[in-house]
Amino acid sequence: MIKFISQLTLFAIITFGTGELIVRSLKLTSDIPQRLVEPETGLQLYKPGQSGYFRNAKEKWHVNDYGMLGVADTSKKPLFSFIGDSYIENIMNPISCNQGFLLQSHFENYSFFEAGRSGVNFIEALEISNYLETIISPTYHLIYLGDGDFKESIISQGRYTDRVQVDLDQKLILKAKMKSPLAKRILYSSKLLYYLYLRFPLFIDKQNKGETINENIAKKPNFDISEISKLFNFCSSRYNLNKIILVFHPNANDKIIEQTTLSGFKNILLREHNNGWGLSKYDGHWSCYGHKEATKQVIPLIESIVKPPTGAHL
Amino acid sequence: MKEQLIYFLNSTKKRTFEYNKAVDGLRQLLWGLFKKIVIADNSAQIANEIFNNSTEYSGSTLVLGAVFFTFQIYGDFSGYSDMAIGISRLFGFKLKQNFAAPYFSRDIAEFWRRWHISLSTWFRDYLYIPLGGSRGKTYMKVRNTFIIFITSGFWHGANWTFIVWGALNALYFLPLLLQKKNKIHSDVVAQGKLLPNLKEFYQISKTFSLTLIAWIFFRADNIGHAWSFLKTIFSKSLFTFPHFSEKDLAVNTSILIIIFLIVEWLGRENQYAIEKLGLNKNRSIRWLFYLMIIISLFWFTGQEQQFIYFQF
Repeated sequence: MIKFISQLTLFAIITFGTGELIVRSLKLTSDIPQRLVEPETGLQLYKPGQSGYFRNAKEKWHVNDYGMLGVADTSKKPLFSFIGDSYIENIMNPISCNQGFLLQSHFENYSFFEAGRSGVNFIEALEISNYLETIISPTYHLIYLGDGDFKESIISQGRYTDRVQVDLDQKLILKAKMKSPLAKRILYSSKLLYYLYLRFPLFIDKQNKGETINENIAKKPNFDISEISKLFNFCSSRYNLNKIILVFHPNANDKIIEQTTLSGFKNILLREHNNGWGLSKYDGHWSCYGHKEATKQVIPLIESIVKPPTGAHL
Repeated sequence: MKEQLIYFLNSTKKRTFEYNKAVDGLRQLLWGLFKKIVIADNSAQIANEIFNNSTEYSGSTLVLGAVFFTFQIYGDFSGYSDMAIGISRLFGFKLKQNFAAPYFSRDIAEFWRRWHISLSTWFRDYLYIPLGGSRGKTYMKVRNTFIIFITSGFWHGANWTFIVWGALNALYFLPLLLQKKNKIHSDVVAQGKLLPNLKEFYQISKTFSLTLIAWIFFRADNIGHAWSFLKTIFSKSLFTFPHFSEKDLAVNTSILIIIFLIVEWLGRENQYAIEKLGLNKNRSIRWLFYLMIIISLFWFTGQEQQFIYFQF
């Protein structure tokens, strides 16, 4: 029995080592940046100084000193920050496809700073805007949003411990917590386990099903508009709305956009045309083409801000 | 079947762990996983696509679909059997072989001695022999043969396709029985040789083709579907180049099936194909072989398919 177990263990170790070697050398998984929770704000940021490859990408991603991915130019004023989820993070495309990069080539005299992170919801984006005020003080914050980001912000609509959320009854911001830190550490260290975790979703499926259900709830047109309205009222007292512009993903819900306007937010709705938004073939995010399309629609907005009509003020 | 039951009843005595048995069990389990995950599941993806859209494909592509189904069903049934036998072996039980390289059979009678042995044996012991078996007048022999094969078809499901599948096998089997040639191939084909001779190769090919035609009825949704499938196969489009949208999947699966067939051929005299493969080689070579099987399990994992017998 001892011989059997020892041989089996040795074989398992060799198998694991070979698997790790194959997954790493063939780059079968993406390199995922490690996160940390910023203790004061409770925001999840990336550990500065990391770099790696997203699967199928030719260019490396880099985490800057601020703990974020993407363009981080703070040298000029006006300075625009771009806050959003994985669409703005854009880890799957070269940095030359990022909103900040594309706009930088169009507005050479201004600075652009990207603060995208996968999973960011509306309230978290606003908290990021507050955080950026303390470190770089942008002139404007452009927050990119989809319908689901609002519901995901409100704790009574579903609890997401790994994201910042708001308890509207107690008017309290709840900090994010690192979810399954041990599992993350293991998956970050072993590419083979991460590969198996993604390829054979024994329990990731349950998570996804949960998220799908939540997404479906979020996409339902008959969402609780009173809760959303309460959320906007809460925000108007806590954040400086004059500096915030909401950029809605195509097909966002009209009622939500209307509510944001009533609550004093500036906003624009991106529109789809031609053959849609050129979503990436690997996932549901914008491709480089999609980012360029988005940029084309954001340019007039920025122009209207930096070159206001005669008599108007910034 | 009886022997299996007697074996289990007698095996209440204390079993002790044996290294060789445990390793043997693991090896068979691994081979079973390969058959199910790599061969059956990948073949199933292609077979499903072709059978579900058979009107859109040429005769040559339908032949491919039938071939892939032939390997799907074998990988599925025998893969699960190997897993069960291997796990039992780990616990010290020795179960009987259930599939003995049936696609290398030289006639249908041999095929049925090698395919799903536990089920065939059950039908033989509890149906065929009580009915009189192959004794008696010709009429009795014909009747018993049809009863056993049609019952076997009916056992697989309440669909006319299974009945026709059973009847077709009875038709294949009857000439051999009536000419008393049903037991001429009781040994292993090309025993002790590396390759079969031309005659054996022809016999294997003929039996495989007959089986393949019968499997079309087994897989088809209804008799009409099977009939139109066969009509397209035996049309001019049989001589066109097969066309399948997922070419990479078809090519990769074909390569895997060829490798699988080679291993099965080399191990056809054993309880399962890799039972003795490389046992005389040094450990590192054997382990490398097992490692390759494990890697292929992950690399070539097909879309998980429901075990065919779940529906029966």
